[in-house]
Amino acid sequence: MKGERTTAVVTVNRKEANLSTVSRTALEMTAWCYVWLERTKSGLKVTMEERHPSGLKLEDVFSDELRRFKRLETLEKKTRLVRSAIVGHALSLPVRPAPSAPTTSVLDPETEAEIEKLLAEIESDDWLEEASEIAKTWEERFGVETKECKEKKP
Amino acid sequence: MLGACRTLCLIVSHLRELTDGSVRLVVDGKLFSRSITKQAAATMVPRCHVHIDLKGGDVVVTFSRREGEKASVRDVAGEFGNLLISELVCSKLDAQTLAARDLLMARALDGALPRDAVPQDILDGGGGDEG
Repeated sequence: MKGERTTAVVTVNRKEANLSTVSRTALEMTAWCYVWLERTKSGLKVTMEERHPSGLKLEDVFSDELRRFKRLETLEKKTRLVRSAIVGHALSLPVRPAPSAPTTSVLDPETEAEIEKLLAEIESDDWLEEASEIAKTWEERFGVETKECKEKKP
Repeated sequence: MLGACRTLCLIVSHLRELTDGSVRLVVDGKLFSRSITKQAAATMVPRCHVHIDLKGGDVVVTFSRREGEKASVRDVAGEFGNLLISELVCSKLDAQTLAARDLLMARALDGALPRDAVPQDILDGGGGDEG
């Protein structure tokens, strides 16, 4: 038996547990083994194959997990209305406007005037003349050659 | 409660090992939707060659070995089964929480809009049906 991967087949009657409970249990079992779900006439067939030989009784583990999830589902059903009401109430609360979306300007009049002045300067064409000055060579601007230029000349 | 039986055979009924070494699985179309099966199969593509076919309402998935893959095709097929179950549970959770998530997203986007973009009568509360 040691060294062999055990395969277990469990059939669950649909009266005993619904698809949701069985699939959640099957998902839990995927931690230990490869699980395959199939429908049968009476319910669901779960085939489990160990990933590595472990000696675990897979059907017992599955039964325990299924019982646990059925208990959990009963609890969920009981509290479903309360949970829905809490979420519904939370969603119906009024929304505060986002802090990043102010309705009025946050700048004082002096700062605003300064920004307006800077914008006007940028929008004017004066800077274009300055830019053309930058594009000129040293010689064009000052009429003299630099030391490097003189050295480069043959 | 449970009709259980234990077998020690290596060939599992849902899985067919073909002569060329590939493994074939038939996915129950009523249990797993086609989108779930396609998504799970797409996840296995880097590990092996996957072929999908339709047979009635079911989906037939064939896995064949890809060079350089250490795991056997059988193991890959097993992982595929696990992935199917994971996708099934996720899709059920998705469906259950879809309305709430949509509402939350709509409210978040509404809060993120600049106030200037919203007409004043709506901001004043005149846009709704209340009153």
